[in-house]
Amino acid sequence: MEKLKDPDFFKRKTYEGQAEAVRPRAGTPQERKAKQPEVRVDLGEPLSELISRTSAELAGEGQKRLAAAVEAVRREAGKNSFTVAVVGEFNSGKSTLVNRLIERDILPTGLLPTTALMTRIRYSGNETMTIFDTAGTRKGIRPAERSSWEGLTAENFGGKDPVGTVLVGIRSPWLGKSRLEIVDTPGVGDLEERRAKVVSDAIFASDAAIITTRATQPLGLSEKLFIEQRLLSHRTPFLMLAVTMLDDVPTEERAGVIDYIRKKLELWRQEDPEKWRAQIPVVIPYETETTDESLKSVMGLENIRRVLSSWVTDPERVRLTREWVASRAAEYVDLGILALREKQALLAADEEKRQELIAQKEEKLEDAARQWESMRLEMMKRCGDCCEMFRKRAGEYASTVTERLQYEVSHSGNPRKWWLEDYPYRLKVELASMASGLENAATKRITEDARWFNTSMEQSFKTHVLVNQDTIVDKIATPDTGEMPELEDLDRQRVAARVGTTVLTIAGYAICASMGALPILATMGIGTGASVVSEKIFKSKVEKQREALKEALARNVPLTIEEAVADSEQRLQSVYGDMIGAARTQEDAWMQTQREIIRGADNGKPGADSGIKQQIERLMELKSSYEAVIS
Amino acid sequence: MFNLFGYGTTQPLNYDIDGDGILDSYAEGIDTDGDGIVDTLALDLNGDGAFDQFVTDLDYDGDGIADGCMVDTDGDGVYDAFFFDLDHDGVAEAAQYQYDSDNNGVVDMVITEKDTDGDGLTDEVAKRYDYDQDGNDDYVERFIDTDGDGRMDTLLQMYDDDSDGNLDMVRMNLDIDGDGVADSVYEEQYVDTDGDGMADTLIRQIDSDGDGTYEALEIYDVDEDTGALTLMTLDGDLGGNGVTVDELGHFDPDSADPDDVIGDPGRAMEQWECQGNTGRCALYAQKFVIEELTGREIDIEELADLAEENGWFTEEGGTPTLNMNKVLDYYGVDNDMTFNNDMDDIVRCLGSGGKVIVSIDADEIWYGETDDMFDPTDNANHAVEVIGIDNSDPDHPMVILNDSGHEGGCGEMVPLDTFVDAWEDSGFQLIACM
Amino acid sequence: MEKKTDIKKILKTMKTSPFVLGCGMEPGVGQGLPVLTVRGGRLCLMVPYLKYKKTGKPDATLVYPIMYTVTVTLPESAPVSFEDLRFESAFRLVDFTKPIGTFRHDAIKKYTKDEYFAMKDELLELYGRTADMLLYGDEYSERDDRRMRELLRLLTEPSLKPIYAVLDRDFFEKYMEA
Repeated sequence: MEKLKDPDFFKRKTYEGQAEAVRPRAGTPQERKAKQPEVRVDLGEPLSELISRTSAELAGEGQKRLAAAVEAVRREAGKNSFTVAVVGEFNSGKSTLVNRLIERDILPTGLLPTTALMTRIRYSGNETMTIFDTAGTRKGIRPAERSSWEGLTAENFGGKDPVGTVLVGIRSPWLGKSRLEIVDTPGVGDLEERRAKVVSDAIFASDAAIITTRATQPLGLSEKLFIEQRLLSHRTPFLMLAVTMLDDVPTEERAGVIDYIRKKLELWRQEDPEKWRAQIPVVIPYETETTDESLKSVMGLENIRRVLSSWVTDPERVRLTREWVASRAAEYVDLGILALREKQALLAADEEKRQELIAQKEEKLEDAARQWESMRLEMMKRCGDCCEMFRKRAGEYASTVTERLQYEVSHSGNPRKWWLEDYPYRLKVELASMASGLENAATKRITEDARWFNTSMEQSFKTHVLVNQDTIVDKIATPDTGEMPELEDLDRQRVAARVGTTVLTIAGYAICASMGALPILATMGIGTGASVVSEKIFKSKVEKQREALKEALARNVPLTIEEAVADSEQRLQSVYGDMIGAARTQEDAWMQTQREIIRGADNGKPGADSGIKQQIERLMELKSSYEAVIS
Repeated sequence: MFNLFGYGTTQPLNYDIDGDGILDSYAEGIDTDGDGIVDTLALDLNGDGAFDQFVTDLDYDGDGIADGCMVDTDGDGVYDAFFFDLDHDGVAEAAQYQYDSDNNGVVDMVITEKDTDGDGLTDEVAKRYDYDQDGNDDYVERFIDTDGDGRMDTLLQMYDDDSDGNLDMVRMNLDIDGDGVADSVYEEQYVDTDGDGMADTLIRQIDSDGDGTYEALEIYDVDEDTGALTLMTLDGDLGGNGVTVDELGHFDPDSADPDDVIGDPGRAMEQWECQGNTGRCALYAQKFVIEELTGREIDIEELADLAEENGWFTEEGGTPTLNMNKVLDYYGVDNDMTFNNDMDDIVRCLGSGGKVIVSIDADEIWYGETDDMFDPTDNANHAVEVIGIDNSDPDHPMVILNDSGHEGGCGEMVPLDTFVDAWEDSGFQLIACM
Repeated sequence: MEKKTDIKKILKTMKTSPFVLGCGMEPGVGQGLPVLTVRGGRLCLMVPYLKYKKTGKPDATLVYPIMYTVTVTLPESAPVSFEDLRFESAFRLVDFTKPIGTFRHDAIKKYTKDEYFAMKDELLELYGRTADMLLYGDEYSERDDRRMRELLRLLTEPSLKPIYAVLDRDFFEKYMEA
């Protein structure tokens, strides 16, 4: 039987008017399903194997939770999506920006102060919104539209404030192609611990972040610290700063704002290139008029989208992801080692002694918990004190500045000219120096409080751990004398930090303190109130004018300062809240491990301690392998 | 794999809360007693990182082997998800989830998902709603992937239109091109017109091109006892260029001149019976022949049983061609089945005292064919006995039939040309019996 | 040009061939428009069998789902397979006792019966010429190909198209799909 002349004839479509090349078959349903865009990071053989050995080792020792955590790290690193967290303060235009990027009016804009809901937006053929509480229990499914947010009230959450995650699926080709997931976080700047934790966790797991900052109040202290602790020290190397509400700034000042921001970022980078190794591009989401033509190249939503997509395929991402995986895994290994050491000590003792030790340990744990609680409360109180101080000082400044300006106007030959031309400039200068002063005071205070907090926690850890020798905790220089920890130690400390102290977090603050003044409040774009005074006044005699202006100043200056200071309290609170929240996480992890040790020791047989020695050795070996990856 | 919260369209809702790219609804075997053997099916449907409370090793079919598990996914104490692995291959092929669709605290919807061929793709998702909580489904939706390509292409919607507890309205939507819009809709509804509580009419509508207009409407009379359907015909004006059933004449043995007639139709007509609404035409044809040739009386029910037992015939499908003479063989009647015959063969057989059974396309005789009513295929669908040919009018010879297919089929007379056309569709099949 | 592959004749012969009769299909099913397909490097003809039922009303003849397929080689008409679609998993939810459409469908309503059959004959001839091209390298132009697609799209009942899509995806996509 002869072969067919054209066996693929039927695979070719018959098109009206055109010849058509062979069309590839779509493949089996499984194949078609598998053919989704791949954005996964390849961890590489050596690292993957290391992880497998680690989880096997940990599991073999009975530390199943740690083993699972290590595997979770691997899973997370290997996910086939790219998460972008959008962070920023309340009212910094986060939700608007997200809505504009996905071209859907999904997120409610405007303040929702009672919700600490985190929203994840990703591609889905089904356009629905699924609501989960923090335990992961599904609370409801609604269509993905703005109105679905109504009724996300306490009712749906068992009478409490809504906290949890909302998963929004929309059919956005842009999201689908790049497998992007956008996470809109509740506003930073809330003392409420669990909200801070929610945000923290989310950002921790993100690949990138867009930080939104208001043009009228750019780059506050909280934002910087936020960037440092959360984003830079974790694995979020891909950052961009989106300047929102630029329209609220007078046109001629807009370029200046951007310039200010860029300079600030550059300054920070120069002062700590290790930490600030990533360049943070500054972008302007919405088209607006400025005096600087070159800004056009960083304007527009399309620009942002392009940058985001480029991050997905950035080779740096692979390297950073691997490093991150290695450090996280190493941290868990550390916890494992610590647990084993404690266990060793417990087992070495004889039965009677052991029970005694266990009872002791349990007591200590309870004690520790209590202590930490009271430390937290103390910290919160200190936060309140700081805010109080801040307000008072601001009030003092208000009167000083007013007096100074009143003095000037009363000695001015041409009050009108002074009011229209000098006053705006003068006010800015005064506010700037006031800002400096206020922030210095605040930072000093924060650093002191932070140091206190850190030291107390650490002492507490030390006293509550049975075995003092050979623990990593000891190796860190404790800054109870007021000395700063050496910067080189930071990396090592980062690992140690997970074990039971919050050294790094606090050190971060300490470092900031050495950098000089940072704006807690900003002076850009604040109206100078020149229009408050009506033209009529300038028609009267000079003396009259002066009087009128002095009155106006008495009114206007305090108001202006109040406006500038308005959000500062929130920012201060966020700084303290961050510290407390971070400590909490450490504490939880530590507590768990300790409890496991107790449980393990309870069941263990005496004399089984030789096995433990080998286990510890193996873990230490794994740890150094990880360190090799990191370096 | 299971899309318990989806809506039956192409993309399963990725139930991945923590965004790690891995579906949180995964099943993983865990070894609870550390003996090295995986012993339970563990689920974390709500992705909270903790395994949901589950009861495994449910034995649904009572055969002693575990075939599923049930899960309490939201920890409220009520088991709301059920997994079925009836073929014990370790892979669940169906899942059922109870759901409160309007969030009023009352479960009113049950979703079932099936993956019967285990290819990882859901084959069917059924959602049953019971809004008024009376225990009867008020509305059922079944999304079906009929061709196994991973896409649901058929949606069956069933409504209990009159709240009597019976799903009496069915709409079937076919989505051929997968654009989410039905291309073809077929709807049928049982209606109780006389109010006696029993459905007596079936209304069927077909929108074959999905343009939203039903272009075919059929109304059937439902037999309240048997459920048999009879299409209600319209005023009986059927048109057609063939003779219509009502117009067919009948052979009158008394008035015909025996010289003009081939065969002995008069006697044959005594054996005629109507098959009613059954597919037994071939059985009847054979019955007539046997009764005529042997003088025996045969009970049609016995014949049907016999034929069915031997696999020659089914009530639903009728008698395939090659089995059309099996009953004759059984009763010892000599017969010969051949194809590609012509009228001469019939004449010869009848002339020598034999009996003739042929297959024809009865529609051509009963309805005739017009431009708007014809069958694009040509196939035989009916067996009749040819009992004679009447040449009284030489220009219009008539073939006389014992046609069990309708009440007026006793000795019906069909014009030769019409008969030959109808006979052609069977390939001129002929069973000549002696 | 000599007509080598006579599809119409092949179809007719199939009706009384021992293989087809031996399949024992239900009486009343007739041949639908066949499918040309390549299997194992050989050219085959897959003939669908389905029932039409007149109701006596114009354009209301019921169309039932395709119930069987018989596949033969070309040009020899050697049997390849017989499928009873009621046993196919892809059809497991089809109710073969219920009609899925009516004949005539809109697209052909403007033609007379004779015109319809003339078009069908033309179509079957195109089938043959496609076969001739594939078997013997005979001439077959793009225009012919397009005409075949045009006729298939016109003459195939819309309600049967999904079934064709399942029976042979290539054929469906090439000739019937929109």
